[in-house]
Amino acid sequence: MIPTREILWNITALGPILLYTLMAIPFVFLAYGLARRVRMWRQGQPENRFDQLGRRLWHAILMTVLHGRIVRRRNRFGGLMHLAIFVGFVTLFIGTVIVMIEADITVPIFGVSFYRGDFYLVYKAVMNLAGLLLIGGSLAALYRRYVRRPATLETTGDDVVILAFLVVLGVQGFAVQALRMAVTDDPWGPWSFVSYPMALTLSALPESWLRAIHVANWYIHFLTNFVFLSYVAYSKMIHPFTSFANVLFRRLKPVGALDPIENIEEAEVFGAGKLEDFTWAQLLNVDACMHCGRCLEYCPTFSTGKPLRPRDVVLELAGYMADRGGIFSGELGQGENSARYRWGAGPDRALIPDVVSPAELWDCTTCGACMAQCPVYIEHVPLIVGMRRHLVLEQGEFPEEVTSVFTNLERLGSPYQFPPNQRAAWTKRLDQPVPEMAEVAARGEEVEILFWVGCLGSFDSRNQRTTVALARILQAAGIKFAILGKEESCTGDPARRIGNEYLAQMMAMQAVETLNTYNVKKVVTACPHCFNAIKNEFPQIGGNYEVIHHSQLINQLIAEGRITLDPNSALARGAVTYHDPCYLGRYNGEYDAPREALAALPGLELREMRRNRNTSFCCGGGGGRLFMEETRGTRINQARVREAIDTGAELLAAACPFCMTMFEDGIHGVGAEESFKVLDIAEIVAGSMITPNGADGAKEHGAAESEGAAPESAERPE
Amino acid sequence: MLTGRYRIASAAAVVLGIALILLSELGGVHEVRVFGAGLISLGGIGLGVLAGLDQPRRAEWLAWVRDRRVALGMIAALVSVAPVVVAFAAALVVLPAAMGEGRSGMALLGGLIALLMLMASVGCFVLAVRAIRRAARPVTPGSPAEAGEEAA
Repeated sequence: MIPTREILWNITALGPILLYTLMAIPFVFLAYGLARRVRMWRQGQPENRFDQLGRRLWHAILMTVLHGRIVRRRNRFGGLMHLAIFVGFVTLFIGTVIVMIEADITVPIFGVSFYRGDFYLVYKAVMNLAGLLLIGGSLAALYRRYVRRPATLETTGDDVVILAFLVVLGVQGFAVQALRMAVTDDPWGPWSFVSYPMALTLSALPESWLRAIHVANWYIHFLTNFVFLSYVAYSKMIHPFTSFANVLFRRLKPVGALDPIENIEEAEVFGAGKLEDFTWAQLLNVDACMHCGRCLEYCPTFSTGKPLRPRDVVLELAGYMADRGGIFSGELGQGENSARYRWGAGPDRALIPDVVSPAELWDCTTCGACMAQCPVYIEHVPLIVGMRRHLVLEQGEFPEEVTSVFTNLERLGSPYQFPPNQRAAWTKRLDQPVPEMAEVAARGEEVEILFWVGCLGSFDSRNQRTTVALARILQAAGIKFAILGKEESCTGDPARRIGNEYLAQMMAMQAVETLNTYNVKKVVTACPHCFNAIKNEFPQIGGNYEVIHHSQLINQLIAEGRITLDPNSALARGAVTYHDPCYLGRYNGEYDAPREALAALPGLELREMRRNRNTSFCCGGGGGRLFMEETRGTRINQARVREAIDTGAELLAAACPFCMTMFEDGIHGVGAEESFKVLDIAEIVAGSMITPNGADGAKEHGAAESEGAAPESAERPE
Repeated sequence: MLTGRYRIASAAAVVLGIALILLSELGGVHEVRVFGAGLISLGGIGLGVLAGLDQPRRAEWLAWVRDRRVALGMIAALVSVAPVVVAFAAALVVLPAAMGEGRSGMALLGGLIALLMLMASVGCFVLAVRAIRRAARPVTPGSPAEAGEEAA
């Protein structure tokens, strides 16, 4: 006797007639919803996301089907739960297709049956396992929503209805199978290891009852499937389609590079003041959000109680788009938790301030923690900067504090009210002169590397100490370098992140022109914001240079033995914790060089903060926030300083002048000046260098503070 | 014009597909079943895509569904759960008898699985009904900034 079963057992001809005839309905609903969404996305501006299709496709499979970003060490429960549901659902779907192929193609047309023998037995076991995974994963998801309740997770009606659907579908499948086996006394029953014990129990019922209950369950099972399929396109369950599409068409450019407004002089629209101003890929972006809340896990504004929640901005846009697109969508999400999203609140609203508030937009530090965590590669920061551009360039609306930044950038080439001829004032603190490119060029010489000092490093008294330290390291290593001095100007990073794209492009073009004039090939900078702009954004306007961050260069110099460190230095003792700057780490993937540089000092014990590397917590200074007052929620910089202090370290190692300023403020704010200090990597290394003239580097670069002297106050320059 | 033709072709595919299914099941010509199913699927997809790409419009029947979505949702929840509840409840009722017929251990395990599945089904039904009822509540008015500041 060959193992198999009768397909459509106990079902009359009416069963398949209804099954196949009614099949048109879920297909109509599914196709309608998907087409509606495509129509909505197509309202956006054109953008080419069809290049490198092979790479895109592989990446999309890796990230969605293979759960690349979904299962993560810090999200193991949620990730594995999703994996269980996914594997269970897909396997059961494939199983259904296999039965259809047998019943509708191979047997009736070719007279060949493959649904038998060993294949059948394995199939049964696999399907039972898949059913368990589907039910178990869905119940785990409900447990997570109702019992564990992570702070970043909000439960809408839609979430519950979908999970209930999945559980009931799985349970119905087992019920139908158990009822059939209870009547047929299937000799291969044990292979269906979940249904079989139930079949033994049910077999005590009269056969007529079993048959009647089986028929009812069979019809309701397929009808439930059809209702579920019809619901898919109007609920979060659309995400297998939208997530895959979103990862497939994700931005392949460097994550740190914002797209410029092309031909800005002739542009008629600046930024996004209405949905149609976003690109189609951005509209797909907002539609791909399934409100998992991972973007909130390391978000500095969410963690400090500010209005901005990246997920909510995306969902607000998605809800608005659904309203405008006339899609019958998300209505079950109108529950108490999701009322904030105003799904169905109507299409006749202005994007800003009705859908997204200016407060939400201005709170963003552009740290990119949301984008780094999003499992489907939603790009929150470009959305926010796009709307900031509209506010700044079309409405003339921005925080009052930023006015002086724009004015100073236009007039003086830096956010601060210092004349350009003071840019090189810090060089007077050095024993050896630092040449300027103009002098070098006049002599007909060339330098190995250009030291891009940056505005904070040039003018801010606290950050000047980092600049001096780095210059000392370069001199000690015998590197032939120069600075631009008064010819240096802002890269445009703050203006661009604040939304003043016009000014940003002006600044960037000026900087590129200067660099190209001197035929600069290699640039080192201590500022990750300058680093990111020069490396990733200057190529957009013809500025192509090899750019390295000072932590990378320092690490290289140590490794090559070009600078010698004193292991007994006063600075190289005790516990230290390192803060990953967002624009160096998340935006440019450099996490190791600063740590390796610190590790070169054996007296230092590196203690990691809870949020480190790509989950690092922002200092609060990015996205122009350094120049704005923090009026909402608690202070981001103080939250980070407390986290650093909690490691038990006495020293916080920074690698960014923005972070430095924020942390100096933060240390004062939490009243830890006496016990805790912040130093740049360059200061720690320079302070621990064995210098040829025997100068006490430790005292010059910060050891004094460790002996009780208060650090120089790091004021925010006006 | 072209869209109208596609729409007619899609509808025709659905009708032809249904005819093939009837032929397959009532006439015993099972070879045509897959073609019927294919035509119904393609026709359905075609109709859906064409309607979806069309201008948004407020169809009356959609408004009717929208207005009754809570009642419809509750009925759907009840209907989808009722047969499994009957099946598992029946399994629990006959459990003592099943245990008396030999293989009592397996029958007991079956009863336990049935109980768990019953609990899962009823639990999901209750949660779904609560969620559907919650959906009937009106949208909270107010600007996003206010909502955000409340959250803060």
